[in-house]
Amino acid sequence: MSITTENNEKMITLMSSDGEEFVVEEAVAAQSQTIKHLIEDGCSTEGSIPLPNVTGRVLSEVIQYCKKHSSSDDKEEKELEAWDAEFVKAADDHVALTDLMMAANFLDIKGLLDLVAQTLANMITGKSPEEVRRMWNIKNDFTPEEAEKVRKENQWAFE
Amino acid sequence: MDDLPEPLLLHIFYRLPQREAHICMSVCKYWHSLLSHPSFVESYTLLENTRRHGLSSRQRMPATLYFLRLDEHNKRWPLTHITPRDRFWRINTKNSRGHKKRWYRNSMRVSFNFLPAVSSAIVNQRVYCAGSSKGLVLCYELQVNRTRGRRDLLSGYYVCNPLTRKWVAVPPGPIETAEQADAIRLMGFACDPRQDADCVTRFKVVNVVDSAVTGGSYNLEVFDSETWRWRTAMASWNPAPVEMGRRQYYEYEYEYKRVEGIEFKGNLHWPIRAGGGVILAYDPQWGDDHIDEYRLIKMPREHIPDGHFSFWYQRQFNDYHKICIGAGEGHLRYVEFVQPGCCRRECRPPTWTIWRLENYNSDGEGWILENKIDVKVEVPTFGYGPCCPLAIDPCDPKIVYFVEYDRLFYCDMQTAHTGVLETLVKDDFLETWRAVMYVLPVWPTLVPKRVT
Repeated sequence: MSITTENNEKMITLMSSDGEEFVVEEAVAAQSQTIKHLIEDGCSTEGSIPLPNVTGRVLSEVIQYCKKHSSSDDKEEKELEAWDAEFVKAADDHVALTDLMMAANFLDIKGLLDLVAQTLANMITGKSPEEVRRMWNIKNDFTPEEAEKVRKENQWAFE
Repeated sequence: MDDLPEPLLLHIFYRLPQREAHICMSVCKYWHSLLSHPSFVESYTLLENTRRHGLSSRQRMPATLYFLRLDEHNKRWPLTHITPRDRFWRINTKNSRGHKKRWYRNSMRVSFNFLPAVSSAIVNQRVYCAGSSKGLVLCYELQVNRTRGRRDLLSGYYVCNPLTRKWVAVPPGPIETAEQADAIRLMGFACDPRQDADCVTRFKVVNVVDSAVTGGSYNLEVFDSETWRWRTAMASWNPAPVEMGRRQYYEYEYEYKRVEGIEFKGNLHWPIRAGGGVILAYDPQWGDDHIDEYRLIKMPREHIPDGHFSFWYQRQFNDYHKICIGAGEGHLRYVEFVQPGCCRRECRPPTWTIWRLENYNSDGEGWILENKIDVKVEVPTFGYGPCCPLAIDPCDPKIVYFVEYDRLFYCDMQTAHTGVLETLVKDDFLETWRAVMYVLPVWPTLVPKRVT
C-alpha cells in the first residue's frame, strides 16, 4: 500500500525474509534497481514488497545506507566517504559483510556492492593465505606438494 | 566462505592489488582456478586500467624504476637501479579511500641477482639493460675484452620479468657472432602491444648495425619469440646519416657503443643525428608479413648546425646540446638541454625544454612546445653546470630525469620543482649515464617459453 506523507513523499513498505516490515520513502528504496523495477511494474500497490533473500538485520543496514546516499546528493563527497568508512566498520566481521554484499547484489545497489567488495578486498590485503583461510573459514584442499608448487610460482608476492 | 557465489567473489578479487591476488592463489584450489584463469586476468587488467585512468598522474603507482649504467669504458656499475622512492612516498600516505599502503606495497626493490650472469663471479662478464616493454626487460651480457683494439663480445640476451624473477635466455644474433662484425649501434626491445589471447607475450629484439662497407645502408637483425629465430635484413633510409662523418652520426656516439630504443605503440625509436636530428621509428611488424618498416621523424629543432659535438670541458664556441626522447601518456616526447657556448653565455641562458609530438603519424610536423625552463632563473641550484637529460617518466611525463656532474635529479617541467634522487660518483663524462624506464604492469607479464 502506498502512503503519502505530509511533504508529499510517497512511502513504500519493504518486508524482509523474517517478516520484519520497513516503511521508507520511495526515493530511498528506488536506489535499489530491483525495487525500482518492482515499483515500475506496479508491484508495490498491492501492499508491501517482499524481499525473500534479505533478513531484517541486513535490510535495516541497507536502508540506512540508501537513506544516507539519497539525502546527500549535494553534500560533499568527502563527508560521504567518511560516512561509508564508518558504515562498513560498523558491519565489522566479514560474515556480516558478505551478507551485506549478497543483499546489495540481490537488490542491485551498485554503490553498496562496490563499497563492500572494496572493504572485503582490504581485509584480505596484508594477510597470509593461512590467515585468509581462517577468516573466510576455507579448507585448504591443496596437497603439500601442490601447495609448495603454487607457492613457488608466486614466490615474489610473499617477499 | 563457499556461500559467496562466483561473480561476487570475483568482484572482490578485482579489487585486490596484484601482489595480494597472487598470495590468494595459495588459499585453496577453487580460488587458484579463479585467479589464474586467463579471463580473470583480462578483466582485472581492463578494470585496473580504467581505475588508474581516473587517477591523477601523481596518484598513480610509482611504477617507474630506472636502470642506470655506465658505458663499457667505466666499469664501476654495470647494472644498477633506483626507484624514485622519496618522490612517491608522499603519495602513499596521501591516498584516501583506505588504500594507504597500496601504492607502496606495489612498488618494489629490484635486483637482477636472479640472472645467473649477474651473480656469477666471472670478472669480465657484465650485464646491461637494453630496453623494457610491457613489464619485461631485455638484458644483454658482455664479455669485456681489455685488449686494445678488440671489441667486447655480446654473448647473449636475457628477457626477464624483474618482478617475478622469471627469465629466458636468448642467443646472440648472427651479426654479433660473425667474426669481422661491426658492433651493434642501436638496440631495441618491444612486446606485441595487442592484447595477448593466452597470456603469452610475444617479443622482438631489434638490432641495427651500421656497416662501414655499405655506407648509408644498414644491417638489421630481428629476433622473434614466436619463431625463436634471428632474421637479418638490409635497410636504408633518407637522409642518410653519413653526412656527419662516421664517428659522429649517432647521438651520443662518443661514449656509447649502444643506444637503447624507446618503445611506443609497439614501435621502437632511436634518436639519431641524421639530417639535423631525427628519430628513427621502426615498426617491428607484429603481423606476419616480414617487411621491415621504418620512418624518420624530424626533431622539433635542428641540432647544432656545424655538427660539432664536444664535451663540456672542451666546448668554447659551440652550444652544449643534449637530448633524450621518451614515451608516456599517449605521446612521444623530446627533452632538450642547451647551454650556449662560453662566449655566448651572457646573452642566452641555459634552458630545458620539453616537446610533445601531437600527431604521431606525421613526420615530425606536429611538435608542440610543452614547457621551457630558464635554468639560471628558475632552478639556480641546478643550473651551475651542464647536464644531460636521461629519461622522461612514462607514468608522469612532465617529470624528466637529469644527470649533472655528480648527482641525479628530477625536474617537474611544469612547476620547475626539482629534487636530487641520488648523489653519484663524480664523473666528468655525463654522457656515460643511461636510463631504461620500467613500468610495472597491472598484472605480471609471463616470460615466454623457449620455442624448440
